[in-house]
Order: sequence, then structure tokens, then C-alpha cells
Amino acid sequence: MKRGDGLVGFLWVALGGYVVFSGFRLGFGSFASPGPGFIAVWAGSLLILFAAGLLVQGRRRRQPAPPAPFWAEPGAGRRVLLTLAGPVGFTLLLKFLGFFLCALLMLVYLFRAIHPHRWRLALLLAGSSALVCFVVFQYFLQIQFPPGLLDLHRLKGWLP
Amino acid sequence: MRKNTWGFVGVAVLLGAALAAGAAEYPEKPVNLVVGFAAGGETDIVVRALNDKISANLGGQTVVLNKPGSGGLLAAQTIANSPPDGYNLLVLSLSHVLRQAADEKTPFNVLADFEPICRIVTQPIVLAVKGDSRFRTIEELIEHARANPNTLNFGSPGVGSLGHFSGELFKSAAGIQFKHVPFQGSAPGVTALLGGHIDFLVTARPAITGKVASGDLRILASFTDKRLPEMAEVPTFAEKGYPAVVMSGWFAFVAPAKTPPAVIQKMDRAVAKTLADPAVIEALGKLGFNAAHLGPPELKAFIAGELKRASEIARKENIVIQ
Amino acid sequence: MEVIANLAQGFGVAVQPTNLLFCFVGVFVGTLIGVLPGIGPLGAIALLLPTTFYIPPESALIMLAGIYYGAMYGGSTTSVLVNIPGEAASVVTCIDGHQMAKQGRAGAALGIAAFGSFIGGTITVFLLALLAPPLARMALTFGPPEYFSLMVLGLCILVYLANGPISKALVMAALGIVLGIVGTDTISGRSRFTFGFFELDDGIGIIPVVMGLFGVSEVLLNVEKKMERSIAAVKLKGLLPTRQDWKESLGPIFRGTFLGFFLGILPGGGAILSSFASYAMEKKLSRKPESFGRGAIAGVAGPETANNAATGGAFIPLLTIGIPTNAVMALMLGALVIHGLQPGPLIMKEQPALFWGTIASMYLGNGMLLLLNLPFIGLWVQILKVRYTLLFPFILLFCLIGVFGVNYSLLDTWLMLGFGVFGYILRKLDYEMAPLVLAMILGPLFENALRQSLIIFNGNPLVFFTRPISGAFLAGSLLLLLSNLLPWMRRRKKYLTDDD
Repeated sequence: MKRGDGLVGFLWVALGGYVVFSGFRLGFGSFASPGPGFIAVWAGSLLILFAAGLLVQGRRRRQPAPPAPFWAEPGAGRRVLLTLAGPVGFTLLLKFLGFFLCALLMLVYLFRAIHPHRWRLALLLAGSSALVCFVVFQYFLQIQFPPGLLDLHRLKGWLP
Repeated sequence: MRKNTWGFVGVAVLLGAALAAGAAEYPEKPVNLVVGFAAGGETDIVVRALNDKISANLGGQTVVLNKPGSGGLLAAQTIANSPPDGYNLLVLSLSHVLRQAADEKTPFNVLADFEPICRIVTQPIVLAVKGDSRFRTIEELIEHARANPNTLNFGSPGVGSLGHFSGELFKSAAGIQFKHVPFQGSAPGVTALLGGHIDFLVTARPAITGKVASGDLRILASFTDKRLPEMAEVPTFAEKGYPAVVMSGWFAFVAPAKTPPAVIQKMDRAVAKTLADPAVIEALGKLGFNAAHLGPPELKAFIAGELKRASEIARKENIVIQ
Repeated sequence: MEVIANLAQGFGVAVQPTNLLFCFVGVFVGTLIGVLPGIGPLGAIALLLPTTFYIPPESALIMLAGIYYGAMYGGSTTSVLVNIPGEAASVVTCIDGHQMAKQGRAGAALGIAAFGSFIGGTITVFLLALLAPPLARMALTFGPPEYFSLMVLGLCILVYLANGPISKALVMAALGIVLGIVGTDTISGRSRFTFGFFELDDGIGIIPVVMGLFGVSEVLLNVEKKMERSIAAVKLKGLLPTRQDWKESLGPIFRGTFLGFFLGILPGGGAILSSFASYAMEKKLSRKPESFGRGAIAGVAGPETANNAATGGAFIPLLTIGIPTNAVMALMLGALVIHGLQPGPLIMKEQPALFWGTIASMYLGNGMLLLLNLPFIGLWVQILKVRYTLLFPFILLFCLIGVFGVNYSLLDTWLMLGFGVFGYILRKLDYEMAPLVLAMILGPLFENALRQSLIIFNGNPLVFFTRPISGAFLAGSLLLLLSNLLPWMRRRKKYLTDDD
């Protein structure tokens, strides 16, 4: 039992309720001719049922100790959020900076933010890997990333 | 005066040179041909088959870009909102038109948002039954459906697909009733037809060519306006007394609205030249498509006609996508 | 006898130097794209398709087939090493494969996957040669009611996947079905739960979901601790499976082969169904089911063999009746059609070199795959020795590339990150992710089959029980539920009264 367990259980019930409600609005149909909301009503009901079972189970069990905290180690939550900021930034900036710069920035940031590796290592490793990824994925495998600042098609004139 | 004249001439020459250079310069960077489906889909394969030749005839590079999502909708929406400079072209197809006809919330308008360049290919739509089906001719099928309304199962590649619209068109013209069973794409529909789980299937021909050749499936009638040389023995609905039952799949290049006519014309010429190449015609034929070029003004009228017809069918048969 | 003669002819074609070369290129490219993110077998085959216009059709098919089963194998590598399933079929491999890696046994996991795939592939080739035509006909008897019942069976099997609390697994399964509803309803054409995003019309992509729930959430769980070390907490043990590993794996490999082969024939989800059905079966048969989820080698050997065998099975409908069972097979059909060949019942008679050559090449290809991958295992496990603070940025980058590369959609990337956070929170609360993913895949198949059946049979639900194959599946589902739920109820009662 961890802190947050009960909350998530109630969340399921709420979500199930929403799905059942929307299911009826989409149209339940009938057993002989199910409508677009038929499965939604059933799946939502099951979700409520199972989640209720979960909540009841949690209640009935005697609890010798208070629930364990969600994060066991100090600073864990902070590290998780810092890490998450990397890919979130990548996704936000991809349209404007293009793949190469985004990959470079994210790698440098992540090499420094969680455990500060030396700048030289971070920059060298990030630079070389971003370049390799750029060549492999965007040029060789033709994944169509947004062009951003470094337009591949302009580069293409110089590449073989 | 004299000075002025010379000055005027000078300006005119310069302007003319600039204009000529401007026209000659398109394309000064690669032209994106945007396909609304994933690499490997039939739209993608057709455009890729033409791409190199179009590049050569245009005198500038063209690049096939895939922007898949919600049945081609996403790509159309993107191109509708692109700058009208001729560098981002869309491969429009009948399914875009059908979508607009069936869905009033479609985020683009095929007539207002695009400048037609040219039609590329058409693709026949056919009605097929199992090889050992009790129906030998289309008349027998119609006869049976008339005597037993709502018993036959009509399979299509999906709600709002070419097959669905064509089937509904047939249904209303013949004044008969049957049940619609939508599948997800043509392959599951063909499997169900081969297994005898549905009575007939309406789909584009390439999906069933092999099974027809082996005798596992039979084509009862085609939705083309006249008999095609490669299936001369198959009657059309038109000749069976249903002149309104005509529909073919097609792909066309379009540009965002307000793209300069010079650009449109140059692109159209390049594609027209490509489609006149016998090797290209043969390659398209193997894929199940007929090269069918149509210039900008004709294409505009053609799309308008298709949209009008599709909207009528959608209204009459209550085909709604929300 | 005829089979042997046919196979001999096939091998004659397959061992021609050019075809051997194409076979090698195929499995090599396949392994690469299986390991690399951002491009699956579908994308790779689409890119290579134009080059096949200029080579003989049998060489083309041999190469494309090599890419396909090579990618199936390569996909398991990332599942084991960094908990990222390259595609839905390797989701199950993550469960025990990555646990093995954490215990320093990545080499054994990768090794058994390679050997399992090889053995499975080999047996499949012979099954294919023997049984292709009758099985193809049998597959046609599956109509919507049979698919409905098969999906019911699949959903019931889900319960067996649970390694933790079963009540939480049930919640995840229900949630998976809910997520599967998102998108356009294929019967009525209505958008459901898309919240105005046109990108969601096709449903929530399975790749963003698995990469988020498995890959991203794994990284978030790991960075919680001040992890200076590498993934494998203990010293890396031997690179190859031990004698004990073999003893535990042989049964799963053989069972997985047959299960995979037969499920692979069926269109729609055959490969995925086979990998988790195999996992559930091994867990049920195992003498120590509690070891599943904690690095049981049988939980890697069975599913990995099954999904490779399923790729072999998938060729049956393509080559015998000309029906592609998935998008990759549809592209192969395209490659044949461009050469003017129409796969169908006639192709075995008219193009024996093509048909049997392809089958024989699959056998050789599986051998090449083994030779190619065994030396790589040593290289791959070195990744686990890299300090985690240097490794995890790359894992995140590969997840981002992998998800963006499928649809070029930023919404997919956001979805992956969202599911990453979601999976992180839930995994901390002891929820399991596999039931959610599989229910999400099976849900829409189940719904379509149900509604198609009811349209065809005028709303009469009795057809599901009166049609023999369908009825058998439903009876099997009922038995499965009873045999699983009754002991659980009893245990729970006991647990609530005198335990705790």
C-alpha cells in the first residue's frame, strides 16, 4: 500500500463514470444492434466495478502501518521532473530548431541535469551522437523531421 | 524624352528578364508532393512510381512526403494552410471529396481551399461475388434483392469509403435494400467474401485482380462509364440501365488556393509529359491504375461534379461521418 | 515425398549466390531496423520496394521476407536491454526479458531468443511446406463470429498475464479496452473520445503507448535513485544460455512454435496474440509460476519463438490465397504484383521456384540470423555496463525518434510522454502494463467482429454458440475463467479471514 493508491482508485471510478455517460450519449443501441457507445458503456462499467473492488479490498485489509510514501528517496521527485523536462523541451522546440539542434540540446541538458558529468564529456558525446543520429535517421532512413533552422533540403545540394 | 524612352525600355527589359527568370526558376528548391497516407500505401506507391520522371520533366527535384493521419485528412488540412508558392502540393483523391460530402465538419473545402493542377490516375470500382456464388449476373442479384429485401450482405472497405458510396449509389438507383457490413480496408473484406461470410463486395479492382484471374471471385459489374479493355467481358452498370451508377477512384495533384497560374501550368506540363510515357502507363497498369490526365480547368469542373454527386448520395443514403 | 522434392527445388533456388546475398541483406537490414527506433519493417520495406523492381521476383521476396523476420528478432533486443518494445509483439518479452537483464542475464535472454527463433523458424518452414494449402482453406472458414469468439478467448487469457495483484490487472484490462475505443467507429463512422483532434481519428497509436508505458516510465523509475551504476545490478553472467536454461526453455520453444504458427495464419493480431498466449500458457504450465515476472527464461523463450513462428504462418494466406494478413504482407503482395505475379492458389503450381525458393530461403535466413546475432550478443550486453546517467538520455532520444518516425506527428510524441508519466505513477503503485496494451489491441478487433456478426446474422447472438469453431472458443474461454477465478476467490477469502 502506497500513498496515492486510494486516490488512483477513485480516479478510475470517475473515469469509468465519464466513459459510461459518453457511451450512452454516443448511442448504446441494443443487444441485437449495438451502437457506437455499446462497448464504451460496458468497458466503463467494468472499470468502475474492478476499481470499486480495488477500493473495497484496500479498506478491508487491516493496515498495521501507515501507507508508504510515494517517493522513497529524498530528491526523487525532483530528479524525475528534471528528467522529464528534457523530452518535453525536445518536443516543444522540434518545430523551430529542427532535429539536430533539439537532439544536441536535450542530450547536453540530460548529461548535466541529473548527474553533472564534465562539460567536455557532455558536449563531445552529445555533439557526436546528435550528428550520427541526424545522418542515420534524417538523411539515411529519410524520417521526415520538421526542417527547422537546418533545412535538410538546402543541405542536400552539398551531400552526394 | 529620348532618355526617358531608353530608361523605359531598360526597365522593361529588366522586368521582362526578371519575369522570365522568375518563371524559369520555379522550382528553385525541391517541391514536396504530400501524400496523406503512410509509405507503402497505394497512393504512396503511385506517386513514388511517377516521382523520378516528374522531377526530370519539371527540371527540378520533387520529393514524396508522407503525412499520414485520419484517412488523408491531416495532409489536406496542412496543405490548405500552406503558403501558395507551389512548393507544397497535395495528392488529392476521391476519398477527400467523399469525406467532405459525408462530414460537414471537414476542416477544408476541396473546391475553395485548393487550386487544381491535374488528375493523375483513375482506378475502376467493381462489384464482386464469390466464384461459386448463386448469382451469375448482376440482374440475378438485383432480382434476388428485390424479392428478399435486407437479406443480402454487402461488404465495403469501410464507412465512407469508395466502395461504400458506390454500393449505396447502386442500391438507390436499383431501388433495392441490402445490409452494409463495413470492414477495415479491402483485404479483410476480400477474405470474408472468399469465406462466404458476405454476399458481395464493392471495392477498387486491384484488391481482387488475382482472385478473379484464379476464378475464386467473379466481377458481376463495374462502376466505370464504359467497358475497360482489360475486362471487356464485364458489363457496366450504365449499360444495364443505371446510367447514374458511375464511380471511379482517382488521384490528382492540387496546390493551395491562390497559387500563381504559371506555377500550376508548369507542374501540369511536367505531369502530363510523364503520364504520356508508355513505360509509366504500363507500370501504373500493373498496379491497377489507368493513367488519366486532366488539365487544371477540366479538373476543377470534374471535382465540383464529383462533390455534388457525392453530397447527393450522402444525403439520400444518410452516410454521415461525425 | 512430394514435399521433399519441392523443398529440394526450393533450396536449389535459395542457395544461388545472388539469392543468398539478398537473403543476407534482408536479415541484416531487418536486424538493424529492429534494433534502431523510428523505422519498423513496414517503413524499411516501403523504402526498399522500388529497388525490387529491378531484381527477379524470387530475390525480391526473399529479401523482403528477410527484413520482416529479421526485424521481429531485432525488436526483442531493445525489449531485453532497455525495456522498449520495438512493436506490440515484443511487449511480452519486456516482462521477463528486462528482469533477466537487471539480474545480469541479458546474454542468456538474447541467446535463448535467438535460438528459439531459429528453432521456431525451422519447424515453421516444414509446417509451411506440409500444411500450407489445407490451412489456407481453413483460415477462410473464420468469419466475424469466429473472430469475435477468438478475441473473447484472447481477453480471457489476459488474466493469466498478471504477475502482481490480479485486481489491478483487471482494472488495467478494462482501461485498455476504453483506450481502444478512441477514434472513428468503423461501423457507424462516428468519432469517439477524440476531443476534436483529427489525429486521433485513427485511434491512439500503439507505438506511442508502448514506448511511453515501458520505455519512458522505466527511465523515470530509474532516475529516482541516485543511480551511478549501470542497469545490471550484479555482474554480467555468461553470454549464452546455460544447461539449466535450456532445460527450462525447450518445452516453451516447441509449444510456442506450434501456437505461433497456427495463430499467425489468422489475419489481424495473430502475431501479437501468439506471443502473449504463449506467455500465459507457459505460466499456467510452469511448476514455478511465481518466477514469471521476475526473470523466468521460459517467459522469454516461449513468446519470442511464437512471434517468429507467427511471421512464417502469416505467409500462408499471402502465398496461397493472395490475402495479406497485415500491412507488411500487403507490401510484399505489392512487390509481387509489380512483377506481374498474382499470388493465389495457382502460384504454387505456376511459380514453384518462387514459392518454394522463398520458403527455403526463410530457413537459411533463420540460420544466418542466428550466426549474425550470436556474436552481437556480446556487444549488446556491453550497453548494460554503461553508466546509467550516460545511457538514459540516449534511451529517451531513441524513444522520441521512434515515435515521431512512425507518423511524423508531434501529437504522438506528446502522447508517449503522457503515457510515460502515467505508466510511471501506475508502476509505482504495482499496476502492470502488459494487460492494458493487449486489451487496447484486442478491444477494437473484438468490437468490430461483434458488430459485423450481428449485422450479418440479423442481431441473433446465438450464432456465437451454434457455430462450432466459435462455440469451442467460447467454451474454452469459460473454462479458462473458471479455472482461474475459482482458486483466486478461494485464496482471497482465506487471505481476508486468517491471513494478513
